[in-house]
Amino acid sequence: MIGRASGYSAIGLDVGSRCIKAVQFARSRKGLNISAIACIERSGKGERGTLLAAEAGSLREVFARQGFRGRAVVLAGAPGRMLSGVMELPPRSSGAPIDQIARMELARANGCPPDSLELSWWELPAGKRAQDGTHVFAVGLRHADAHEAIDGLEAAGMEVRALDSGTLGISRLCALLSTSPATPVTGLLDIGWSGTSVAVLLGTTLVYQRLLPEMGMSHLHSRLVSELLIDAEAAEFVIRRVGVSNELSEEQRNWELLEDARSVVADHADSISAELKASLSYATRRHDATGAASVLASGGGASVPGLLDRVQRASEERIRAIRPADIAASPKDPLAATLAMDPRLACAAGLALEPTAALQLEAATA
Amino acid sequence: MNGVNLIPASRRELAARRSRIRAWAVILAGVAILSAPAAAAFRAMWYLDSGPARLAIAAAQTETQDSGARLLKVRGETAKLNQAEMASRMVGEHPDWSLLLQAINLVRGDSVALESFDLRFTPPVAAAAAAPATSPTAGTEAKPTVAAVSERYTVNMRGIATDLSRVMTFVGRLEGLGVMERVAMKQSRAENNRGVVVTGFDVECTLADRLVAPTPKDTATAEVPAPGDRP
Repeated sequence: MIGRASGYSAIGLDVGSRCIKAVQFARSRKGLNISAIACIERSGKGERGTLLAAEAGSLREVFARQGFRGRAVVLAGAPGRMLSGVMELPPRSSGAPIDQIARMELARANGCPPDSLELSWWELPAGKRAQDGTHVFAVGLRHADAHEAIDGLEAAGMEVRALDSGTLGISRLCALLSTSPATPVTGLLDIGWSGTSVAVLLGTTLVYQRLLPEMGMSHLHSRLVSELLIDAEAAEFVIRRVGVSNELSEEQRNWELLEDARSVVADHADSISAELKASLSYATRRHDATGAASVLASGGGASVPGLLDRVQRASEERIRAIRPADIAASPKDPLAATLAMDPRLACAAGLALEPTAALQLEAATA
Repeated sequence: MNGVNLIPASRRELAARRSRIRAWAVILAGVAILSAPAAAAFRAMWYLDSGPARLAIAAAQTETQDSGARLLKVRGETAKLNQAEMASRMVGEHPDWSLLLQAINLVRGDSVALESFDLRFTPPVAAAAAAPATSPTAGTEAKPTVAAVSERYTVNMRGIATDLSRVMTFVGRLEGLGVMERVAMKQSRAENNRGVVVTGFDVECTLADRLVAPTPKDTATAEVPAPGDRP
Protein backbone atom coordinates (compact mmCIF):
# COMPACT_ATOMS: atom_id res chain seq x y z
CA MET A 1 0.00 0.00 0.00
CA ILE A 2 1.31 3.39 -0.90
CA GLY A 3 1.74 5.66 2.02
CA ARG A 4 3.57 3.21 4.21
CA ALA A 5 6.98 4.02 5.47
CA SER A 6 8.62 2.29 2.55
CA GLY A 7 6.86 4.54 0.02
CA TYR A 8 6.36 1.62 -2.35
CA SER A 9 3.08 -0.02 -3.25
CA ALA A 10 2.49 -3.74 -3.29
CA ILE A 11 3.39 -5.44 -6.55
CA GLY A 12 0.37 -5.71 -8.80
CA LEU A 13 0.55 -9.12 -10.44
CA ASP A 14 -1.57 -10.04 -13.46
CA VAL A 15 -0.92 -13.58 -14.60
CA GLY A 16 -2.04 -13.79 -18.22
CA SER A 17 -2.16 -16.75 -20.53
CA ARG A 18 1.03 -15.71 -22.32
CA CYS A 19 2.67 -13.15 -20.08
CA ILE A 20 3.07 -12.39 -16.39
CA LYS A 21 2.65 -8.66 -15.90
CA ALA A 22 3.84 -6.84 -12.79
CA VAL A 23 3.81 -3.17 -11.81
CA GLN A 24 4.91 -1.36 -8.67
CA PHE A 25 4.39 2.30 -7.84
CA ALA A 26 6.33 4.65 -5.64
CA ARG A 27 5.15 7.94 -4.25
CA SER A 28 7.37 10.97 -4.37
CA ARG A 29 6.84 14.66 -3.80
CA LYS A 30 6.07 15.11 -7.50
CA GLY A 31 3.39 12.44 -7.42
CA LEU A 32 3.07 8.82 -8.39
CA ASN A 33 5.94 7.08 -10.17
CA ILE A 34 6.21 3.68 -11.75
CA SER A 35 9.14 2.31 -9.78
CA ALA A 36 9.28 -1.08 -11.51
CA ILE A 37 7.44 -2.70 -14.36
CA ALA A 38 7.88 -6.06 -16.05
CA CYS A 39 6.22 -8.27 -18.61
CA ILE A 40 7.59 -11.81 -18.44
CA GLU A 41 6.80 -14.24 -21.25
CA ARG A 42 5.50 -17.54 -19.91
CA SER A 43 7.53 -20.51 -21.07
CA GLY A 44 4.74 -23.04 -20.83
CA LYS A 45 1.06 -22.95 -21.47
CA GLY A 46 -0.66 -21.87 -18.30
CA GLU A 47 -4.14 -20.81 -17.40
CA ARG A 48 -4.79 -17.15 -16.91
CA GLY A 49 -4.53 -16.26 -13.23
CA THR A 50 -2.77 -19.46 -12.23
CA LEU A 51 1.00 -19.77 -11.93
CA LEU A 52 2.89 -22.99 -12.49
CA ALA A 53 5.10 -24.06 -9.60
CA ALA A 54 8.31 -23.46 -11.55
CA GLU A 55 7.16 -19.99 -12.58
CA ALA A 56 6.27 -19.04 -9.01
CA GLY A 57 9.61 -20.33 -7.77
CA SER A 58 11.60 -18.10 -10.11
CA LEU A 59 9.34 -15.07 -9.83
CA ARG A 60 10.93 -13.53 -6.74
CA GLU A 61 14.38 -13.69 -8.26
CA VAL A 62 13.09 -12.09 -11.45
CA PHE A 63 11.37 -9.37 -9.44
CA ALA A 64 14.55 -8.61 -7.53
CA ARG A 65 16.44 -8.37 -10.82
CA GLN A 66 13.82 -6.06 -12.30
CA GLY A 67 14.02 -3.65 -9.37
CA PHE A 68 10.84 -4.51 -7.46
CA ARG A 69 10.90 -3.80 -3.73
CA GLY A 70 9.43 -5.93 -1.00
CA ARG A 71 7.55 -9.17 -1.34
CA ALA A 72 3.95 -8.03 -0.97
CA VAL A 73 1.80 -8.92 -3.96
CA VAL A 74 -1.77 -8.16 -4.97
CA LEU A 75 -2.87 -10.94 -7.27
CA ALA A 76 -5.75 -11.10 -9.71
CA GLY A 77 -7.92 -14.19 -9.53
CA ALA A 78 -8.25 -16.30 -12.65
CA PRO A 79 -11.16 -14.79 -14.65
CA GLY A 80 -12.41 -18.22 -15.62
CA ARG A 81 -12.67 -19.27 -11.98
CA MET A 82 -14.15 -16.11 -10.54
CA LEU A 83 -17.80 -16.40 -9.57
CA SER A 84 -19.90 -13.30 -10.04
CA GLY A 85 -23.48 -12.30 -10.41
CA VAL A 86 -26.11 -9.67 -9.79
CA MET A 87 -28.66 -10.66 -7.17
CA GLU A 88 -31.85 -9.22 -5.87
CA LEU A 89 -31.95 -9.59 -2.11
CA PRO A 90 -34.40 -8.46 0.56
CA PRO A 91 -34.16 -4.80 1.50
CA ARG A 92 -31.73 -3.89 4.26
CA SER A 93 -34.60 -2.48 6.31
CA SER A 94 -36.02 -6.01 6.66
CA GLY A 95 -33.11 -7.01 8.88
CA ALA A 96 -32.47 -10.10 6.77
CA PRO A 97 -28.91 -11.53 6.81
CA ILE A 98 -28.02 -10.24 3.38
CA ASP A 99 -24.48 -11.56 3.52
CA GLN A 100 -25.67 -15.08 4.22
CA ILE A 101 -28.33 -14.89 1.56
CA ALA A 102 -25.86 -13.59 -1.01
CA ARG A 103 -23.51 -16.42 -0.17
CA MET A 104 -26.25 -19.00 -0.50
CA GLU A 105 -27.41 -17.53 -3.79
CA LEU A 106 -23.94 -17.41 -5.34
CA ALA A 107 -23.17 -20.94 -4.14
CA ARG A 108 -26.44 -22.24 -5.50
CA ALA A 109 -25.91 -20.56 -8.88
CA ASN A 110 -22.43 -22.08 -9.22
CA GLY A 111 -23.18 -25.48 -7.67
CA CYS A 112 -20.78 -25.39 -4.74
CA PRO A 113 -21.17 -25.54 -0.94
CA PRO A 114 -21.71 -22.08 0.61
CA ASP A 115 -18.84 -22.45 3.04
CA SER A 116 -16.37 -23.41 0.33
CA LEU A 117 -16.09 -19.97 -1.22
CA GLU A 118 -14.95 -16.49 -0.27
CA LEU A 119 -17.41 -13.79 -1.11
CA SER A 120 -17.58 -10.04 -1.41
CA TRP A 121 -20.50 -7.97 -2.54
CA TRP A 122 -21.62 -4.41 -2.88
CA GLU A 123 -24.92 -2.66 -3.45
CA LEU A 124 -25.79 -1.43 -6.89
CA PRO A 125 -27.31 1.97 -7.55
CA ALA A 126 -31.08 1.85 -7.48
CA GLY A 127 -32.49 1.48 -11.00
CA LYS A 128 -35.94 1.37 -12.47
CA ARG A 129 -36.63 -2.15 -11.28
CA ALA A 130 -34.85 -1.96 -8.01
CA GLN A 131 -37.61 -0.51 -5.92
CA ASP A 132 -38.59 -3.67 -4.08
CA GLY A 133 -35.30 -5.00 -2.77
CA THR A 134 -31.54 -4.61 -2.54
CA HIS A 135 -29.60 -5.30 -5.73
CA VAL A 136 -26.06 -6.41 -5.14
CA PHE A 137 -23.12 -7.41 -7.28
CA ALA A 138 -21.35 -10.37 -5.73
CA VAL A 139 -17.86 -11.64 -6.53
CA GLY A 140 -16.56 -14.89 -5.14
CA LEU A 141 -13.82 -17.48 -5.48
CA ARG A 142 -13.71 -21.07 -4.31
CA HIS A 143 -11.29 -21.69 -1.49
CA ALA A 144 -9.54 -24.43 -3.44
CA ASP A 145 -8.86 -22.05 -6.34
CA ALA A 146 -7.66 -19.35 -3.95
CA HIS A 147 -5.28 -21.73 -2.19
CA GLU A 148 -3.94 -22.93 -5.53
CA ALA A 149 -3.25 -19.37 -6.64
CA ILE A 150 -1.59 -18.35 -3.37
CA ASP A 151 0.38 -21.47 -2.40
CA GLY A 152 2.92 -21.28 -5.21
CA LEU A 153 3.70 -17.62 -4.57
CA GLU A 154 3.98 -18.04 -0.82
CA ALA A 155 6.23 -21.06 -1.30
CA ALA A 156 8.49 -18.76 -3.34
CA GLY A 157 8.66 -16.32 -0.43
CA MET A 158 6.07 -13.81 -1.68
CA GLU A 159 3.36 -12.44 0.57
CA VAL A 160 -0.04 -12.33 -1.17
CA ARG A 161 -1.66 -9.33 0.47
CA ALA A 162 -4.89 -9.54 -1.52
CA LEU A 163 -6.55 -11.72 -4.10
CA ASP A 164 -8.56 -9.26 -6.14
CA SER A 165 -10.62 -9.15 -9.28
CA GLY A 166 -8.72 -7.95 -12.33
CA THR A 167 -11.71 -5.93 -13.48
CA LEU A 168 -11.84 -4.11 -10.15
CA GLY A 169 -8.13 -3.38 -10.50
CA ILE A 170 -8.74 -1.77 -13.87
CA SER A 171 -11.68 0.13 -12.39
CA ARG A 172 -9.33 1.66 -9.82
CA LEU A 173 -7.11 2.84 -12.64
CA CYS A 174 -10.15 4.27 -14.45
CA ALA A 175 -11.26 6.08 -11.30
CA LEU A 176 -8.07 8.13 -11.48
CA LEU A 177 -8.73 9.02 -15.12
CA SER A 178 -12.44 9.88 -14.90
CA THR A 179 -12.06 13.57 -14.32
CA SER A 180 -15.38 14.53 -15.86
CA PRO A 181 -18.43 13.84 -13.71
CA ALA A 182 -20.56 14.32 -16.84
CA THR A 183 -19.62 10.84 -17.99
CA PRO A 184 -20.75 8.59 -15.17
CA VAL A 185 -20.95 5.52 -17.38
CA THR A 186 -17.64 3.91 -18.23
CA GLY A 187 -17.21 0.78 -20.22
CA LEU A 188 -14.20 -1.40 -19.57
CA LEU A 189 -12.96 -3.53 -22.40
CA ASP A 190 -10.15 -5.91 -21.50
CA ILE A 191 -9.14 -7.75 -24.65
CA GLY A 192 -6.89 -10.54 -23.50
CA TRP A 193 -5.39 -13.57 -25.19
CA SER A 194 -7.73 -16.13 -23.69
CA GLY A 195 -10.87 -13.99 -23.59
CA THR A 196 -12.37 -10.56 -23.56
CA SER A 197 -14.01 -9.02 -20.54
CA VAL A 198 -16.69 -6.37 -20.84
CA ALA A 199 -17.60 -4.40 -17.74
CA VAL A 200 -19.59 -1.28 -16.98
CA LEU A 201 -18.90 1.22 -14.21
CA LEU A 202 -21.46 3.64 -12.89
CA GLY A 203 -19.24 6.28 -11.40
CA THR A 204 -16.70 4.07 -9.67
CA THR A 205 -19.08 1.19 -8.97
CA LEU A 206 -18.88 -1.94 -11.05
CA VAL A 207 -22.44 -2.77 -12.08
CA TYR A 208 -21.96 -5.18 -14.93
CA GLN A 209 -19.35 -7.70 -16.01
CA ARG A 210 -19.28 -10.34 -18.68
CA LEU A 211 -16.51 -12.66 -19.79
CA LEU A 212 -16.38 -13.58 -23.49
CA PRO A 213 -13.94 -16.47 -23.94
CA GLU A 214 -14.59 -16.74 -27.68
CA MET A 215 -13.51 -13.14 -28.19
CA GLY A 216 -9.98 -13.52 -26.94
CA MET A 217 -7.02 -12.88 -29.22
CA SER A 218 -6.29 -16.59 -29.24
CA HIS A 219 -9.59 -17.08 -31.03
CA LEU A 220 -8.63 -14.48 -33.62
CA HIS A 221 -5.24 -16.18 -33.99
CA SER A 222 -6.88 -19.53 -34.59
CA ARG A 223 -9.21 -18.04 -37.20
CA LEU A 224 -6.30 -16.48 -39.04
CA VAL A 225 -4.42 -19.78 -39.09
CA SER A 226 -7.39 -21.83 -40.14
CA GLU A 227 -9.05 -19.47 -42.63
CA LEU A 228 -5.95 -18.03 -44.32
CA LEU A 229 -3.94 -21.23 -44.04
CA ILE A 230 -0.96 -19.36 -42.63
CA ASP A 231 1.39 -20.51 -39.91
CA ALA A 232 1.18 -19.35 -36.29
CA GLU A 233 4.02 -16.86 -36.62
CA ALA A 234 2.37 -15.18 -39.61
CA ALA A 235 -0.90 -14.97 -37.71
CA GLU A 236 0.94 -13.44 -34.81
CA PHE A 237 2.48 -10.90 -37.18
CA VAL A 238 -0.95 -9.98 -38.56
CA ILE A 239 -2.28 -9.39 -35.06
CA ARG A 240 0.68 -7.35 -33.86
CA ARG A 241 1.63 -5.38 -37.01
CA VAL A 242 -1.23 -5.35 -39.49
CA GLY A 243 -4.56 -5.45 -37.71
CA VAL A 244 -7.12 -3.24 -39.42
CA SER A 245 -4.92 -0.19 -39.68
CA ASN A 246 -4.53 1.72 -42.93
CA GLU A 247 -1.00 2.77 -42.08
CA LEU A 248 0.88 -0.06 -43.78
CA SER A 249 4.32 -0.39 -45.23
CA GLU A 250 4.87 -1.05 -48.92
CA GLU A 251 5.79 -4.66 -48.24
CA GLN A 252 2.61 -5.17 -46.25
CA ARG A 253 0.46 -3.62 -48.96
CA ASN A 254 1.83 -6.09 -51.50
CA TRP A 255 0.91 -9.10 -49.38
CA GLU A 256 -1.65 -11.10 -51.30
CA LEU A 257 -3.58 -12.18 -48.19
CA LEU A 258 -3.74 -8.68 -46.75
CA GLU A 259 -7.38 -8.00 -47.38
CA ASP A 260 -8.42 -11.42 -46.19
CA ALA A 261 -6.47 -10.97 -43.00
CA ARG A 262 -7.88 -7.48 -42.40
CA SER A 263 -11.32 -8.85 -43.01
CA VAL A 264 -10.88 -11.51 -40.30
CA VAL A 265 -9.55 -8.95 -37.80
CA ALA A 266 -12.34 -6.49 -38.67
CA ASP A 267 -14.92 -9.19 -38.18
CA HIS A 268 -13.44 -9.93 -34.75
CA ALA A 269 -13.51 -6.23 -33.88
CA ASP A 270 -17.11 -5.95 -34.99
CA SER A 271 -18.06 -8.87 -32.77
CA ILE A 272 -16.44 -7.15 -29.82
CA SER A 273 -18.21 -3.91 -30.74
CA ALA A 274 -21.56 -5.62 -30.78
CA GLU A 275 -21.02 -7.15 -27.38
CA LEU A 276 -19.78 -3.86 -25.98
CA LYS A 277 -22.72 -1.94 -27.35
CA ALA A 278 -25.18 -4.45 -26.00
CA SER A 279 -23.57 -4.47 -22.58
CA LEU A 280 -23.51 -0.69 -22.31
CA SER A 281 -27.08 -0.44 -23.48
CA TYR A 282 -28.24 -3.03 -20.97
CA ALA A 283 -26.40 -1.45 -18.07
CA THR A 284 -27.53 2.09 -18.76
CA ARG A 285 -31.14 1.02 -19.16
CA ARG A 286 -31.12 -1.17 -16.08
CA HIS A 287 -29.63 1.46 -13.85
CA ASP A 288 -31.33 4.38 -15.54
CA ALA A 289 -28.00 6.05 -16.28
CA THR A 290 -27.91 9.07 -18.56
CA GLY A 291 -25.12 10.79 -20.37
CA ALA A 292 -22.51 9.72 -22.85
CA ALA A 293 -20.43 6.71 -22.05
CA SER A 294 -16.71 6.39 -22.50
CA VAL A 295 -14.90 3.14 -22.97
CA LEU A 296 -11.43 2.34 -21.70
CA ALA A 297 -9.66 -0.57 -23.32
CA SER A 298 -6.84 -2.65 -21.92
CA GLY A 299 -5.14 -5.91 -22.67
CA GLY A 300 -3.12 -7.07 -25.63
CA GLY A 301 -6.02 -6.56 -28.02
CA ALA A 302 -5.94 -2.82 -27.38
CA SER A 303 -2.53 -2.72 -29.07
CA VAL A 304 -3.71 -4.32 -32.33
CA PRO A 305 -3.34 -1.63 -35.00
CA GLY A 306 -6.65 -0.01 -35.84
CA LEU A 307 -8.74 -2.37 -33.73
CA LEU A 308 -9.96 0.21 -31.22
CA ASP A 309 -10.83 2.65 -34.03
CA ARG A 310 -12.88 -0.05 -35.66
CA VAL A 311 -14.65 -0.86 -32.39
CA GLN A 312 -15.33 2.83 -31.78
CA ARG A 313 -16.88 3.31 -35.19
CA ALA A 314 -18.97 0.21 -34.86
CA SER A 315 -20.14 0.82 -31.31
CA GLU A 316 -20.47 4.58 -31.65
CA GLU A 317 -18.79 5.04 -28.29
CA ARG A 318 -15.70 7.04 -27.36
CA ILE A 319 -13.00 4.53 -26.74
CA ARG A 320 -9.37 4.83 -25.80
CA ALA A 321 -6.63 2.58 -24.49
CA ILE A 322 -5.57 2.82 -20.88
CA ARG A 323 -1.93 2.43 -19.85
CA PRO A 324 0.03 2.62 -16.59
CA ALA A 325 1.74 5.77 -17.84
CA ASP A 326 -1.63 7.52 -17.89
CA ILE A 327 -1.69 7.81 -14.10
CA ALA A 328 1.98 7.78 -13.12
CA ALA A 329 5.31 9.05 -14.34
CA SER A 330 7.12 6.58 -16.54
CA PRO A 331 10.48 5.21 -15.53
CA LYS A 332 13.61 6.52 -17.22
CA ASP A 333 14.67 3.14 -18.52
CA PRO A 334 13.57 2.98 -22.22
CA LEU A 335 12.36 -0.59 -22.03
CA ALA A 336 10.40 0.11 -18.87
CA ALA A 337 9.01 3.29 -20.42
CA THR A 338 7.80 1.26 -23.38
CA LEU A 339 6.08 -1.18 -21.05
CA ALA A 340 4.46 1.73 -19.22
CA MET A 341 2.75 2.63 -22.49
CA ASP A 342 1.50 -0.92 -23.05
CA PRO A 343 -2.25 -1.46 -22.37
CA ARG A 344 -1.49 -5.05 -21.42
CA LEU A 345 -0.12 -3.83 -18.08
CA ALA A 346 -3.15 -1.76 -17.14
CA CYS A 347 -4.62 -4.54 -15.00
CA ALA A 348 -1.37 -5.06 -13.08
CA ALA A 349 -1.12 -1.31 -12.51
CA GLY A 350 -4.67 -1.24 -11.17
CA LEU A 351 -3.95 -4.14 -8.84
CA ALA A 352 -0.91 -2.31 -7.47
CA LEU A 353 -3.29 0.48 -6.52
CA GLU A 354 -4.88 -1.13 -3.52
CA PRO A 355 -8.36 0.22 -2.76
CA THR A 356 -7.31 2.57 0.03
CA ALA A 357 -4.43 3.98 -1.97
CA ALA A 358 -6.60 4.42 -5.04
CA LEU A 359 -9.21 6.34 -3.07
CA GLN A 360 -6.54 8.58 -1.56
CA LEU A 361 -5.12 9.30 -4.99
CA GLU A 362 -8.58 9.91 -6.37
CA ALA A 363 -9.29 12.45 -3.65
CA ALA A 364 -5.96 14.13 -4.24
CA THR A 365 -6.62 14.36 -7.98
CA ALA A 366 -10.08 15.86 -7.40
CA MET B 1 -16.51 -0.77 -4.00
CA ASN B 2 -13.38 -0.73 -6.04
CA GLY B 3 -11.58 -3.71 -4.61
CA VAL B 4 -12.13 -7.05 -2.93
CA ASN B 5 -9.93 -9.50 -1.11
CA LEU B 6 -10.90 -13.08 -1.84
CA ILE B 7 -8.17 -14.69 0.22
CA PRO B 8 -9.95 -17.27 2.42
CA ALA B 9 -10.76 -15.90 5.85
CA SER B 10 -8.90 -18.72 7.60
CA ARG B 11 -5.79 -17.88 5.64
CA ARG B 12 -6.10 -14.17 6.38
CA GLU B 13 -6.56 -14.93 10.06
CA LEU B 14 -3.44 -17.07 10.04
CA ALA B 15 -1.50 -14.33 8.27
CA ALA B 16 -2.77 -11.76 10.75
CA ARG B 17 -1.70 -13.99 13.62
CA ARG B 18 1.75 -14.37 12.09
CA SER B 19 1.91 -10.65 11.64
CA ARG B 20 0.97 -10.08 15.27
CA ILE B 21 3.61 -12.58 16.40
CA ARG B 22 6.21 -10.82 14.27
CA ALA B 23 5.13 -7.47 15.66
CA TRP B 24 5.35 -8.71 19.22
CA ALA B 25 8.74 -10.25 18.52
CA VAL B 26 9.93 -6.89 17.23
CA ILE B 27 8.42 -5.12 20.23
CA LEU B 28 10.01 -7.53 22.67
CA ALA B 29 13.35 -7.26 20.93
CA GLY B 30 13.04 -3.49 21.08
CA VAL B 31 12.17 -3.56 24.75
CA ALA B 32 15.11 -5.87 25.39
CA ILE B 33 17.44 -3.58 23.48
CA LEU B 34 16.13 -0.52 25.29
CA SER B 35 16.17 -2.13 28.72
CA ALA B 36 19.68 -3.55 28.38
CA PRO B 37 21.43 -0.19 28.95
CA ALA B 38 19.03 0.58 31.78
CA ALA B 39 19.78 -2.76 33.37
CA ALA B 40 23.50 -2.15 32.93
CA ALA B 41 23.17 1.30 34.47
CA PHE B 42 21.13 -0.07 37.35
CA ARG B 43 23.70 -2.77 37.94
CA ALA B 44 26.51 -0.24 37.84
CA MET B 45 24.65 1.98 40.32
CA TRP B 46 24.01 -1.00 42.55
CA TYR B 47 27.66 -1.96 42.41
CA LEU B 48 28.74 1.58 43.28
CA ASP B 49 26.17 1.99 46.03
CA SER B 50 27.04 -1.31 47.62
CA GLY B 51 30.62 -0.27 48.40
CA PRO B 52 30.02 0.61 52.09
CA ALA B 53 27.90 -2.49 52.55
CA ARG B 54 30.62 -4.65 51.04
CA LEU B 55 33.19 -3.05 53.36
CA ALA B 56 30.91 -3.64 56.35
CA ILE B 57 30.46 -7.27 55.32
CA ALA B 58 34.22 -7.71 54.94
CA ALA B 59 34.81 -6.08 58.35
CA ALA B 60 32.18 -8.32 59.92
CA GLN B 61 33.78 -11.38 58.33
CA THR B 62 37.21 -10.35 59.65
CA GLU B 63 35.73 -9.72 63.08
CA THR B 64 34.06 -13.11 63.00
CA GLN B 65 37.37 -14.75 62.13
CA ASP B 66 39.12 -12.86 64.92
CA SER B 67 36.38 -13.81 67.36
CA GLY B 68 36.75 -17.44 66.31
CA ALA B 69 40.47 -17.28 66.90
CA ARG B 70 39.95 -15.64 70.29
CA LEU B 71 37.41 -18.28 71.19
CA LEU B 72 39.85 -21.05 70.34
CA LYS B 73 42.49 -19.35 72.40
CA VAL B 74 40.12 -18.97 75.35
CA ARG B 75 39.14 -22.62 75.03
CA GLY B 76 42.80 -23.63 75.17
CA GLU B 77 43.37 -21.45 78.20
CA THR B 78 40.24 -22.87 79.80
CA ALA B 79 41.54 -26.37 79.26
CA LYS B 80 44.85 -25.43 80.81
CA LEU B 81 43.10 -23.82 83.79
CA ASN B 82 40.95 -26.91 84.20
CA GLN B 83 44.04 -29.06 84.31
CA ALA B 84 45.66 -26.68 86.81
CA GLU B 85 42.53 -26.72 88.90
CA MET B 86 42.48 -30.50 88.88
CA ALA B 87 46.13 -30.61 89.94
CA SER B 88 45.55 -28.03 92.60
CA ARG B 89 42.51 -29.91 93.83
CA MET B 90 44.44 -33.14 93.96
CA VAL B 91 47.13 -31.51 96.01
CA GLY B 92 44.88 -29.28 98.05
CA GLU B 93 42.43 -31.99 98.98
CA HIS B 94 45.10 -34.42 100.12
CA PRO B 95 44.15 -36.15 103.43
CA ASP B 96 45.66 -35.03 106.67
CA TRP B 97 47.60 -38.23 107.47
CA SER B 98 48.60 -37.03 110.91
CA LEU B 99 45.05 -37.64 112.05
CA LEU B 100 45.28 -41.23 110.83
CA LEU B 101 48.59 -41.76 112.54
CA GLN B 102 47.20 -40.36 115.76
CA ALA B 103 44.18 -42.63 115.50
CA ILE B 104 46.35 -45.69 114.86
CA ASN B 105 48.56 -44.72 117.74
CA LEU B 106 45.54 -44.50 119.99
CA VAL B 107 44.19 -47.93 119.07
CA ARG B 108 47.66 -49.50 119.24
CA GLY B 109 47.76 -49.60 123.00
CA ASP B 110 50.84 -50.57 124.98
CA SER B 111 51.12 -54.16 123.80
CA VAL B 112 51.72 -53.41 120.13
CA ALA B 113 54.71 -51.72 118.61
CA LEU B 114 54.87 -50.71 114.98
CA GLU B 115 58.08 -51.25 113.08
CA SER B 116 57.07 -49.94 109.71
CA PHE B 117 54.22 -47.96 108.22
CA ASP B 118 53.79 -47.96 104.44
CA LEU B 119 51.15 -45.78 102.81
CA ARG B 120 50.54 -46.38 99.12
CA PHE B 121 48.27 -44.48 96.76
CA THR B 122 46.44 -46.21 93.99
CA PRO B 123 45.64 -43.78 91.15
CA PRO B 124 41.97 -43.20 90.34
CA VAL B 125 40.30 -45.75 88.09
CA ALA B 126 36.89 -45.63 86.55
CA ALA B 127 34.53 -47.75 88.49
CA ALA B 128 32.45 -50.26 86.62
CA ALA B 129 29.17 -48.76 85.65
CA ALA B 130 27.07 -51.72 86.60
CA ALA B 131 29.08 -52.87 89.60
CA PRO B 132 27.51 -51.90 92.93
CA ALA B 133 29.95 -50.03 95.01
CA THR B 134 30.15 -51.42 98.50
CA SER B 135 30.94 -49.15 101.37
CA PRO B 136 30.90 -51.15 104.59
CA THR B 137 32.46 -48.37 106.55
CA ALA B 138 29.81 -45.91 105.50
CA GLY B 139 27.20 -48.41 106.54
CA THR B 140 24.99 -47.55 103.59
CA GLU B 141 24.49 -49.22 100.29
CA ALA B 142 25.96 -47.42 97.36
CA LYS B 143 23.71 -46.62 94.54
CA PRO B 144 24.17 -49.01 91.66
CA THR B 145 25.08 -48.12 88.16
CA VAL B 146 27.05 -45.09 89.21
CA ALA B 147 29.97 -44.61 86.94
CA ALA B 148 32.61 -42.84 89.03
CA VAL B 149 36.29 -42.43 89.38
CA SER B 150 37.74 -43.64 92.68
CA GLU B 151 41.15 -43.47 94.29
CA ARG B 152 42.41 -45.79 96.93
CA TYR B 153 45.00 -45.74 99.69
CA THR B 154 46.57 -48.85 101.13
CA VAL B 155 48.38 -48.91 104.47
CA ASN B 156 50.73 -51.78 105.23
CA MET B 157 51.83 -51.93 108.83
CA ARG B 158 54.43 -54.24 110.28
CA GLY B 159 55.00 -54.62 113.96
CA ILE B 160 55.27 -56.79 116.98
CA ALA B 161 53.00 -57.54 119.90
CA THR B 162 53.30 -59.35 123.12
CA ASP B 163 51.01 -62.09 121.91
CA LEU B 164 48.65 -62.84 119.08
CA SER B 165 45.54 -61.82 120.99
CA ARG B 166 46.91 -58.31 121.21
CA VAL B 167 47.39 -58.31 117.48
CA MET B 168 43.80 -59.38 116.90
CA THR B 169 42.63 -56.70 119.32
CA PHE B 170 44.64 -54.14 117.36
CA VAL B 171 43.09 -55.33 114.13
CA GLY B 172 39.65 -55.12 115.60
CA ARG B 173 40.26 -51.61 116.88
CA LEU B 174 41.52 -50.59 113.45
CA GLU B 175 38.29 -51.81 111.91
CA GLY B 176 36.46 -49.92 114.59
CA LEU B 177 37.97 -46.65 113.48
CA GLY B 178 35.50 -46.62 110.62
CA VAL B 179 37.83 -45.20 108.09
CA MET B 180 39.14 -48.55 106.89
CA GLU B 181 37.27 -50.36 104.19
CA ARG B 182 39.10 -53.50 104.82
CA VAL B 183 41.61 -54.60 107.50
CA ALA B 184 43.39 -57.83 106.73
CA MET B 185 45.82 -59.75 108.81
CA LYS B 186 48.34 -60.70 106.26
CA GLN B 187 50.78 -62.60 108.37
CA SER B 188 51.65 -63.39 111.99
CA ARG B 189 54.76 -65.07 113.21
CA ALA B 190 56.79 -65.66 116.27
CA GLU B 191 59.93 -63.54 116.49
CA ASN B 192 62.77 -63.36 118.85
CA ASN B 193 63.45 -59.77 119.57
CA ARG B 194 66.43 -59.10 121.79
CA GLY B 195 66.03 -62.51 123.41
CA VAL B 196 62.31 -62.06 123.99
CA VAL B 197 59.78 -64.09 122.01
CA VAL B 198 57.14 -61.77 120.53
CA THR B 199 54.48 -62.12 117.88
CA GLY B 200 55.28 -60.33 114.62
CA PHE B 201 52.52 -59.36 112.32
CA ASP B 202 51.73 -57.75 108.92
CA VAL B 203 48.45 -55.94 108.57
CA GLU B 204 47.09 -54.47 105.35
CA CYS B 205 44.47 -51.80 105.60
CA THR B 206 42.54 -50.42 102.70
CA LEU B 207 41.06 -47.06 103.23
CA ALA B 208 37.60 -46.57 101.90
CA ASP B 209 37.51 -45.73 98.21
CA ARG B 210 37.15 -42.04 97.64
CA LEU B 211 35.15 -41.02 94.63
CA VAL B 212 36.50 -38.04 92.90
CA ALA B 213 35.04 -35.86 90.16
CA PRO B 214 35.91 -37.25 86.75
CA THR B 215 38.25 -35.33 84.51
CA PRO B 216 36.81 -33.98 81.28
CA LYS B 217 38.30 -36.86 79.29
CA ASP B 218 36.50 -39.31 81.55
CA THR B 219 33.09 -37.79 81.08
CA ALA B 220 32.65 -39.78 77.95
CA THR B 221 32.58 -43.01 79.91
CA ALA B 222 31.73 -42.10 83.51
CA GLU B 223 29.16 -40.00 85.27
CA VAL B 224 29.71 -37.68 88.19
CA PRO B 225 28.72 -39.58 91.40
CA ALA B 226 26.00 -38.44 93.68
CA PRO B 227 27.10 -36.46 96.72
CA GLY B 228 26.18 -39.34 99.00
CA ASP B 229 28.66 -41.61 97.33
CA ARG B 230 31.62 -39.68 98.57
CA PRO B 231 33.47 -41.33 101.60
